[in-house]
Amino acid sequence: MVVSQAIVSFLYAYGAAGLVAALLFLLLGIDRVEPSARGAYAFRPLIVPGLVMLWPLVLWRWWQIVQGRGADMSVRRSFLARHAAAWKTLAVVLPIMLVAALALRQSGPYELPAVPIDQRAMSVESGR
Amino acid sequence: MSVTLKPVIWYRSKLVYDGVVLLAMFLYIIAYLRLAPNLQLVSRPIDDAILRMRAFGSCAFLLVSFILAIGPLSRLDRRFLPLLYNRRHFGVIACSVACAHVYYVYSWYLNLSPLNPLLALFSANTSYGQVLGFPFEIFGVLALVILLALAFTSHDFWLSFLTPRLWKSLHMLIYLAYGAIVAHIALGSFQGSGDPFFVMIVCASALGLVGVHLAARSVSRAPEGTAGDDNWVDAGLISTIADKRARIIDLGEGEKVAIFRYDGKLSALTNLCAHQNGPLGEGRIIDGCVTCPWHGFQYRPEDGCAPAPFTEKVATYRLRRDLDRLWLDRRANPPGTRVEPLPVNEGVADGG
Ligand code: HEM
Ligand code: FES
Repeated sequence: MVVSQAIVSFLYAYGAAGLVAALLFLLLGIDRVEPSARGAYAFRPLIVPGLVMLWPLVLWRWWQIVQGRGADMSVRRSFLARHAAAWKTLAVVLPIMLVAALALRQSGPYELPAVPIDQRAMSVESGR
Repeated sequence: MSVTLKPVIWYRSKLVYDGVVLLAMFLYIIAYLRLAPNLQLVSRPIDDAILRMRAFGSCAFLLVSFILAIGPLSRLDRRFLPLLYNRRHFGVIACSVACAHVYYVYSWYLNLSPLNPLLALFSANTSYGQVLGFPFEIFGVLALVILLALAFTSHDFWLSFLTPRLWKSLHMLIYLAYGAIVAHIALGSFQGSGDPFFVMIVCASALGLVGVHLAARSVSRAPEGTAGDDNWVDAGLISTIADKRARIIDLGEGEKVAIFRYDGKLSALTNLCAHQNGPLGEGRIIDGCVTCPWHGFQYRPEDGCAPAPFTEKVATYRLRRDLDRLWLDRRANPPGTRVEPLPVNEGVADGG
């Protein structure tokens, strides 16, 4: 309970900090950081949830751009290889997970077909 | 390819697409709510909130599975290509359906407790040390957080602000999310209700998805061969490249090159679009420019530059020929480097 309480407090603090960061970014940062955002206002509400959720990343990119660094827009050639690696991993993990879950499954008494009570009593008696 | 950012770019085809997806989703939910009560066991009646929770949960799972299948399906069969254009809207819809699932989970499971719902979520079950009765909700939380992050960053602003590289890395998390969703179902629903029909659907979707991805990989692999110089690779016969289309050559380690044939000439560009790594080689030449099949970014084939006023550039490659056989230099030129196009007819005419 203490741990859960701590997680929840952390989430609230994170969200509050995110709201502040989002406001600052929209007021001060966005026009300098993103040339194509100048004069475009309608899309701004759409990005607020992302700003709140990813605010550490946003502040980091903002700072990077202000510093004049990180303008590397090139595309990494290894993405296709990473896709392939991701699928190979899933190809192994998913079947194991599904088979294990079904193997471990315990069938409870509720999975037996419903039987009227008197009949069950009879079958129990006859079994004796 | 907008110069200033717009909230959402909707044109006719996208509206139709979104409409079809939403319609399919509503039909699924309605059918589920209508049909599922008939299948339930007399001994275990299901109440309304649980039914809704299951309808939206399974719908979200099927949507995510389908989204992940679009890529390989369109590689296997070009008729699926139109589905690729609008995957982002599709993703946002799937995320909203997952949110509806969680809403109904709360309205039933967690509403019984006076605790703050967030607190209840993390403290209701903490048996992380066991497999049976494992708090499978945590996998649902992980998946939902990822789906939300991807939906929130689906606007083009994020692509340019975070850089395509970082954005793409972020969006690779969808694979982790998919694994988490399957774990969420396997440890949760499979252990509880164990409806055999649902178990079958989940297993078939997950395994089928892996299957189409593996199948698509083997299709896109092109033949390789090297001449005396190791840097030049055999790129097949010129005469077998369709006009205004490309052949994709796989150089290994994820590097692919698209060789386009247009106006009696040939040019080679990287297969990766500078926008979101779309497969340029699956696009065609429109108005003299290589046009990406995903969102229509354009590049001049001879130098890989987008026409003004756009500034995107992609890498070019050098080509050589031996009669009808094409050779490709595997060393990429810096993005935007001009390479003289190779004429198609010269050598073939000489060679008779
Ligand atoms: C905060 C996040 C989430 C919570 C707390 C949560 C909770 C639950 C709960 C309590 C169940 C009931 C299991 C049972 O009937 O035994 C369930 C089932 C399910 N959930 Fe989630 N979930 C979450 C996120 C997700 C996400 C993101 C997806 C998919 C995209 C998902 C898909 C499903 C599916 C397919 C089922 C099984 C439905 C069925 O039995 O027919 N869940 N979830
Ligand atoms: S990936 Fe978007 S246009 Fe190419």
